[in-house]
Amino acid sequence: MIMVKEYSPVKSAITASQVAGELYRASGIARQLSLAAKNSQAVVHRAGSKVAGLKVISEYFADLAIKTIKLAKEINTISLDISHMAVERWRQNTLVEHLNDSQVKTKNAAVDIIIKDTKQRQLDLNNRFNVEIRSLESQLEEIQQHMQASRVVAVSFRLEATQTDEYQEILEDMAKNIDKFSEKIKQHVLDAKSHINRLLQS
Amino acid sequence: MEAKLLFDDKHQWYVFARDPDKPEKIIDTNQYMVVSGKESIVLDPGGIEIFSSMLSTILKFIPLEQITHLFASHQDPDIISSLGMWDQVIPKAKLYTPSLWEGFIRHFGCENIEFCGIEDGGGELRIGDTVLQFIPAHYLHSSANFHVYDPVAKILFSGDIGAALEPQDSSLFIENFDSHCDKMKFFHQRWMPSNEAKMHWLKRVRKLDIDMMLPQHGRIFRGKEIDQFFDWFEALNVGIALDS
Repeated sequence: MIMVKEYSPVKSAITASQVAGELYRASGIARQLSLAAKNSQAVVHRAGSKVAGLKVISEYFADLAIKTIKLAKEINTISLDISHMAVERWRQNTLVEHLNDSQVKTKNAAVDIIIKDTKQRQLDLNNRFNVEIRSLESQLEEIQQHMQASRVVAVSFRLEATQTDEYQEILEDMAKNIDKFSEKIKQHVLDAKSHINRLLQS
Repeated sequence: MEAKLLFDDKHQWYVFARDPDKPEKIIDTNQYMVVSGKESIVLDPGGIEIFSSMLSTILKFIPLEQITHLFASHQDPDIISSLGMWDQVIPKAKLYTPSLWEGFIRHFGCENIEFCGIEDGGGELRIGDTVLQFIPAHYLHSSANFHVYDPVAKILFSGDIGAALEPQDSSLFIENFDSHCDKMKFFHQRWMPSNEAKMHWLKRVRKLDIDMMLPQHGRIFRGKEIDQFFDWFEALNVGIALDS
C-alpha cells in the first residue's frame, strides 16, 4: 500500500481558506487590470495607425485579465472543496478517536468494523485531498507565470508607447498601471503558495 | 457563500449568507461579523455543515488572528454547532453567549475558547473601538436569548426575530413588506412561545434608534420596515401549538 502523507485537518482547513482569501483579493485586482486593459484598448483604437504595435499588446492584457479572473474562480472552487474535505477528515478523525475510546471501555466486534470502514474512508479522502492540493499548486503556478509574462510585456508596451507623440504620457501611465496590477496579483499568488508550503512542510 | 458589507464607517458590519454549498435539507442561515480595529466578532457563526464556507468567506476580509470573539444568541445547532471547529482554529478567542446555556453549549466542544456567559440582564462588549450591547430577548424563542445592538451603526441583530423561511436564492433585503409577512407568519407563531415575552421585547427595542434589523434567517429590514415589523409582530398571536 502506498502511504500518502496526512496533513492536519485543522491546518488544512485554515490553509484552504487562506488561499481562497488571497485569490479573492487577486481577482479584485484582476478586475482592475481588465479595466486598465480595456482603457488601453480604447486609447490604442483612438490613436489609430500611429500605435499599431500596441494593439496586439493591449489585446493581450485584456485576454490575460479574463484568464486570471477565470483561474482565480477555479482556484476558489478547489480551495472550498479542500476546505470541505478537511472538515470531513476532521470529523472522521474525531469519530475514530471516540470509537477507539469506546473499544477501550468495552470491546465490540461491530464497532471494530465501523472503525475499519471509517479508516478506509479517511484514506480515500486523504488521497483525494492530496490530489486536490497538487492541482491547487499547479493552478497557482499558472497564474504566477501569467503575471511574470505580463510584467515583461508591460515593459514592451512602455517602450512602444515612447514612440508615440500625443498619446505617449497616457499610454506610459497605463503600462505602469498594468505592471503594478500584475505585480500585486503575483504577490497574492506568492502568499497563497507560501500558505500551502507551510502546510506541506508541517 | 454570498458576502456583503452592510455598514462601513470607522467599523464594519458584514453579512454572510445564501451558501450554495449548504446541504439542501438544512435551514439557511445569515451570519454577521462586526470588525473594529484589530478585533472582530462573528454573530451566530452557524452550524458545523457551513463551517468551511464560513471560514473561507471570513478570510477574504480579515486574517484569522483578527477573529477574536464569537457570539451565540442561544444554543441551537444552526447557531453554534460549529463551535468545536472554531475552538481548534481560533483557540484564543472568546465566546459570548447566555450563561444559562453554558453546560449545553459546551457539548459542541469548547476546550480552548474562553466561555464568557452573559447574565440575564444583558451587558456590553467592546470590540476594538466599538461598544456593542447585548439586548435580552428571553423566550424568543430560546429561554435564554440575546440580540446585539450597535448604537453607532444603528443596527440590531435580532436572531430568530424577523426570520423568514425562503428559497436559497432569495434577496438579502425585503422588497415588499406586505408580501414578506406571509413568509414570516408561521415561523413566528410556531417558534415563539410567549405573547408576554414578545411584548416585553417590543417595549425594549422600540426605544432603540434602528436603521437596519438583521435576522438570522430570511431578509434584512431597513428604515420604515422596522416599525412595520414591530407593529405586525405586536398584533400576531404566537405560541399557537397550544391550540392545536
